[in-house]
Amino acid sequence: MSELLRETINAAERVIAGVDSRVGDYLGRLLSSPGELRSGEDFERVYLAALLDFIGLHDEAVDVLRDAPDAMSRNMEGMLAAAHGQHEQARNILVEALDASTDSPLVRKQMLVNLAAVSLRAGSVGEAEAWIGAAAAIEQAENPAVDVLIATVRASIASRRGDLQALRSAAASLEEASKSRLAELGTEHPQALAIVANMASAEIMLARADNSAVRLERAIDVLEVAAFRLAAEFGVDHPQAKAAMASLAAARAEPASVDAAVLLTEQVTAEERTPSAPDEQRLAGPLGVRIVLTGPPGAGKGTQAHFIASHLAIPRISIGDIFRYNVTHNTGLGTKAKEHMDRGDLVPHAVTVAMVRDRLAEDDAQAGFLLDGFPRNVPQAETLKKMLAEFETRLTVVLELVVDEDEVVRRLSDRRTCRRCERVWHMLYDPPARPGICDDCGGELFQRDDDKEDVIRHRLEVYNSQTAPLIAFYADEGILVGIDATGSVEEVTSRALSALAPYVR
Amino acid sequence: VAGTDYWIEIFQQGTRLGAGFLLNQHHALTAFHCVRSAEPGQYLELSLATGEQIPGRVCEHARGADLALIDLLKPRESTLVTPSADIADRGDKWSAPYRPSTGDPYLSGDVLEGKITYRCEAGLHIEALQLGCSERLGDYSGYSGGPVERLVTGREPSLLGILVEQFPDRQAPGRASDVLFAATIAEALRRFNCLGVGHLVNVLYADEQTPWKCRPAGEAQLSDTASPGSRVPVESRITAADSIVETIREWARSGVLDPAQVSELTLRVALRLVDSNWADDA
Repeated sequence: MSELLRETINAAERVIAGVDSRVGDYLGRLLSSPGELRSGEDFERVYLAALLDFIGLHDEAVDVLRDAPDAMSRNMEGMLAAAHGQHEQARNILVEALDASTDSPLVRKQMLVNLAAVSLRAGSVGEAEAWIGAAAAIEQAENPAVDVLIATVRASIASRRGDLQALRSAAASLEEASKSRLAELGTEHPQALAIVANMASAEIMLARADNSAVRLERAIDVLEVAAFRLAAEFGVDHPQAKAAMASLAAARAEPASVDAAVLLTEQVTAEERTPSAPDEQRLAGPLGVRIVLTGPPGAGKGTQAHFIASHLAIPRISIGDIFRYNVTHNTGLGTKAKEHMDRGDLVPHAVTVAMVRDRLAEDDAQAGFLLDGFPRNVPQAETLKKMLAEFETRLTVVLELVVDEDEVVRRLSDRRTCRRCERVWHMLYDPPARPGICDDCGGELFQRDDDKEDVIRHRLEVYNSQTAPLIAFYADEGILVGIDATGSVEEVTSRALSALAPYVR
Repeated sequence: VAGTDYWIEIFQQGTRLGAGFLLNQHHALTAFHCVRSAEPGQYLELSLATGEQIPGRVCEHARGADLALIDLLKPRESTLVTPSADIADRGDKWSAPYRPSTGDPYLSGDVLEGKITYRCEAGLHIEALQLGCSERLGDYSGYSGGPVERLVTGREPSLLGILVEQFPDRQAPGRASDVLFAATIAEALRRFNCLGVGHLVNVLYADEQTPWKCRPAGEAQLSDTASPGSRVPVESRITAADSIVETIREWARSGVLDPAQVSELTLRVALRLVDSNWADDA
């Protein structure tokens, strides 16, 4: 092996021990003599890169790995990029690294599991799931550290999807793998604290799902001690300490009760899903977040669309508004649409799609959008997907407002509209001061035909037959997030923003 | 906001034993010699900086390292926040927020060494801070058990260590009396079963009826940490620098990202921050 490489490693270790303040000449000489670098073992290069990164020499760490053809070095380069928050770059490095030759199934497994972790952090749940499946399929490379990460990624995917059964199973695997890892490291190893912090984070998710306040509190206590000790061991700015403290802050910020969204989306995710091949998927564009909001009539889509879009500072694009704009401005498409509407027919698919395309091509939609009322069925969804692909982007997330059918009926059938000013009142949630009279203008309130119970039931049937397959479509795509839309407007908005958070960058 | 008022005073049947500080909702840390008259399991009265009184109990002794852990027996009402722990570097400014009485000065000065091996009176080597003290008192009794913080303008204070018993004559015959020693906070936390990885894992997966529970020494000890009850010096403990190098080696060897940085909860923080900004805007 290379003497120079070994000297450089020793020098870097001395810097960490506080004996020396600089890596000195060794590094410079090493980097200017590729032969020396290459004569080292794969693991030595990788280890040196990790040491250099720790002492803040990030570029030099990457230089040590650069041009090294082996898979282990490529994998470390991806890890370094990920550790610095460069998820897209990390992903590209790792995807390329899959082509690097390695006869070690373990290294290949490490790359796949890292890809899954990076995809998850980049917000691509479906992609993460595909990579993790590929990693888990490599059976001959048993390794507790890899198993811990696989279980962690699976737990996070399950939590995002609200798939309680999968969460439970991933948490059980995580516990088992973590215990093996702890047995391997010894409980005195400072790394063991990071393992415990991770176990506690998973238990927090599960305790919430199980609605167990006792377990939740206990897991938060454990996370607190682990995070505190990690900061004491490594310093408050170390990534492991920061990650544990961030988990703790998040756990404390969440309300103590179970997040209803976790349970409510279960119905959707319980169905068999086949994630599409990762190669066909792209990460979302660098800008903005592209959201589709869906849910039955009466779920409060309009209201929520307004609040979510303004919170995220993206335009709310409502299919209704698009129609109104086109029709009132007598655009070509508007005229066509009006012909059909006047006859009482549905507007043809092609016309609707063309209007949506025009709207999405506008400048303000380039930084992201929230689409409300479109797509309504699977063919429209497929068209939207193609359309966005033409714009070289794709949907970030589909937010489903989940609400009980009887609740919808209750909400809508209690609505009363003012004949004069058309203001909508709600007899339960927003009643006028005097029954039957509009507070604003004194006009008479009446119940629109659309708001009568039998009409509502019929609209729900139509919705269910058309939109249920749509929900399944987006669940397959791995971008569906469901939230409980019962409760006050503020509660629902807050839930929606929580659910969207992982996708908002 | 993390403050400097998380220190406590410890009493036993009305007699003041010494100082300590809160670690979290369940535990406080002190110097062993402060509470040596109280065996593990015995009750103490804790007086917080806010004036609140809460009952406590000696949880574990780590006599050789001059440290002791105290159980808080009742949730405190005041929302005192312990600063985050951190490692000290040579040249950092330190201060001690606890003083024995209003007539005494607050101690402060420069960190001379962030990580040295210090031999305690009981014979155990511990990882310690060597602190230059600007207030040249000569006698620092009454201060031990109190926290050592780093103060940097514009940043929240960090907790660096805990003042332990001083032996000016023995440590280095020629040393100036304005040099103090404190166990690093990492070292202090390593000394107790209750805060050890083995115990944390047990707590995490205990059945729902089992509350967070420390075991006062005398009960069966877990074997994973530095056997605080048995008071056997652990000389072979890897130093912090070694452990960091070891951690990096592990990271490189295992070839996988840190799971803690991947988990769902971590990702949610960004939202919370954004959320609170919105709340502020509104």
